[in-house]
Amino acid sequence: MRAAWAVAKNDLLLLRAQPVAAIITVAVPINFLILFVLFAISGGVVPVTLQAGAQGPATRAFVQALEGSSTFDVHPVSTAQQASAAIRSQNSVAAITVPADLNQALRPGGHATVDVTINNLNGDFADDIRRGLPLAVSLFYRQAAPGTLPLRWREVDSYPTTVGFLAFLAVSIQTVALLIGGLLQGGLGVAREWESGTVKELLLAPVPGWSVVLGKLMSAFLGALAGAVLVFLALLLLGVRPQAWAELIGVFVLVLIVFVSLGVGVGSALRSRNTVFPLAFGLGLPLFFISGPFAPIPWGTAAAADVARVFPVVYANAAFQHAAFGFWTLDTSVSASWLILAAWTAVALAASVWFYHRATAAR
Amino acid sequence: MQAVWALVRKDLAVWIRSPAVMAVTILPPLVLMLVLALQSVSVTSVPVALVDQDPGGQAATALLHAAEAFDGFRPQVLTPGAAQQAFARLQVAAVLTIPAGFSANLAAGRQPTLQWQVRNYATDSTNDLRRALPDVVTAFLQSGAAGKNPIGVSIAEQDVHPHDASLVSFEMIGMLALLLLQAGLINAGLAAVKEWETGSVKELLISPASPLNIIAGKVIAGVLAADITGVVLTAVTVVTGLLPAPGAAQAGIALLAMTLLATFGAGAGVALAAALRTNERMNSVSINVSLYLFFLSGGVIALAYMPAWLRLVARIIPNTYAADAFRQSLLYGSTAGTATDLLWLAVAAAAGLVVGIPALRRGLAH
Repeated sequence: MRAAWAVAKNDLLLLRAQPVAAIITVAVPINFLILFVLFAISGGVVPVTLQAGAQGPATRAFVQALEGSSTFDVHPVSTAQQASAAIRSQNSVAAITVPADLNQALRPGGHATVDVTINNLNGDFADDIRRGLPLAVSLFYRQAAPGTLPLRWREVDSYPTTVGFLAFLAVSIQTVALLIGGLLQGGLGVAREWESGTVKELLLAPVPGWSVVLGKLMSAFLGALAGAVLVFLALLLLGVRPQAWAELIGVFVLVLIVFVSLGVGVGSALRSRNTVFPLAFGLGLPLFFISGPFAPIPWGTAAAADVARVFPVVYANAAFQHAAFGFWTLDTSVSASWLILAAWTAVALAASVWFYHRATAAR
Repeated sequence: MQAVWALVRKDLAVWIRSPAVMAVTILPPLVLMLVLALQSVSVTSVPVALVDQDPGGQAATALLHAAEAFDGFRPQVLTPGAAQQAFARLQVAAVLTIPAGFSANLAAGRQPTLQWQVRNYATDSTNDLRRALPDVVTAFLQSGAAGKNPIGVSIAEQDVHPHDASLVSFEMIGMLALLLLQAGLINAGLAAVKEWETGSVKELLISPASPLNIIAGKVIAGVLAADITGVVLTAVTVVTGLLPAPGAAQAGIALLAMTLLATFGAGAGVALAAALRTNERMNSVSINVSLYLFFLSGGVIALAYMPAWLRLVARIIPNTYAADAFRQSLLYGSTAGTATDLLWLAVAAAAGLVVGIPALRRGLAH
């Protein structure tokens, strides 16, 4: 145990001796959060200009319907030229023109045409507008002429509040912070011993191999913890308020042990920091993305869901979402998911020792 | 000039024999492309259960067909019990229930109520579902199955482009800009760093080549390597049908935009190399710099969707203009606005060189 502490202390001192490298590695998870936030704050609603032919109650109701459709960010303009200029300068993607005789459409047999020019950059963006407009029209009728539609619909939500996209995504970023941070800290710390040749000294030292691995795990755990805590503080700043702190801390610790252990195993197997770095990103990011950061995995493709179920990331994402928002987003039960995470912890710890032994035996 | 070309040839030969450098260049955009494709599958088309409790009704059948034909979700017709089970097990995101007596009530003008049960985790997927049902209802009313369509508002759509590009193709263009910047940064930067790490910088300095020739060699090799990477990726996307084959003018514009963006990247790359001087630092900093520039320029989102402050930031980042030039030329087969894009890219390339050349020159002098 003393040897393990000595190895851990040495690695932490090395981090202090190489501040630039240490900062870069610790900052990787927070970088991801910032990048994902940049990604998430764009694209939520469609910026459109609205040119109204008249300012009557029908027009006001239609504007309210557009704004209430959760689809459009409406910017009023006075002329068609202003609307075209907004599209050309990429400040809007559609120009909606409400006719002066819109109120005619509310009369039996009456009709009015809403013109829309769409900058159809791609089918997905354009379809949001094409689907958002019928929603706005139906909302308009429900509000301005309640009895006109021959049928109604009632939305029954599963939860009292709908979590914002940014908060939902940000919670899962805690997983990617632990994943990338753990793999990097674990992997780089071990690979460095081979690159600098100091692995010989470790092998010659009268200490068992497991104590070296334990020391590496402890120092990597602390290094990755620093990055993950930074991300967690940023989540609090973003307004995320966990509902179950004990669950949050539990999954935090368990998942960090898994990824740090896998990092030590990967570092022992590859023995090169230049390979560990791209591998941590190359493996970590796709795994994170197929593991339900945007929506539950059963809603996506079956093949991606099957792959995701093999790895611990999906269970970590679900547990973090459960701790933060109180709902469960996986078709595996809460208890089964915790068992799988515990099993992964045991397997990852065993793998870190096995890979280190294998790598040192090969020398 | 001979010295410059000798250095260019040497750096390109080293680049071709360095799979690790190629991996660092190509991997981040490829990984990002993969994850965006995976993300778009999971959030754009969610499974929805359809329950018809009015099986014999004509209007109910028409509504069911309208829902089945809707391309915004993946519908599956289930019994009420199976639908609730699928909903509880998260196999479907929503359940649309057509109530018993729907057709009769509709015919009698009694305004039957559809039930739309929604798993409202996050706003993004929930709003997609909220938009979906009115779309289905509109299609149903327009079919005439509910009698005379009471909706008197029609939408007359005009599109700016003759056809919709696919989301993947649109995102691929953003990736192309990321790849070129990353390639310019990495190739020129690592080629310079390597001279310090291997100690060959001494040999370069005692050679008759002037520092300016050395720097020019590094930058040109970086730009050529980036251009080769960009052209190969573009060719692959054209061959696989992701992008249409461009005309000569459009291909020329795209190549010029690639070269200018790569020149900016190479200039920034040699400046970073002079400051960082180790492979490890250069790798991580350049990946971070290119990813930040990528996301700050909107990445795979159109400029208009970004908040106003981010649009302002994006307008000073060269990726924005490169992506626009690539989209106009390679995706829409147009040249509209590309002159402005190329002008801004030329300014960015010049700025990259103005920063990079003196920085590396100072580095070599020390």
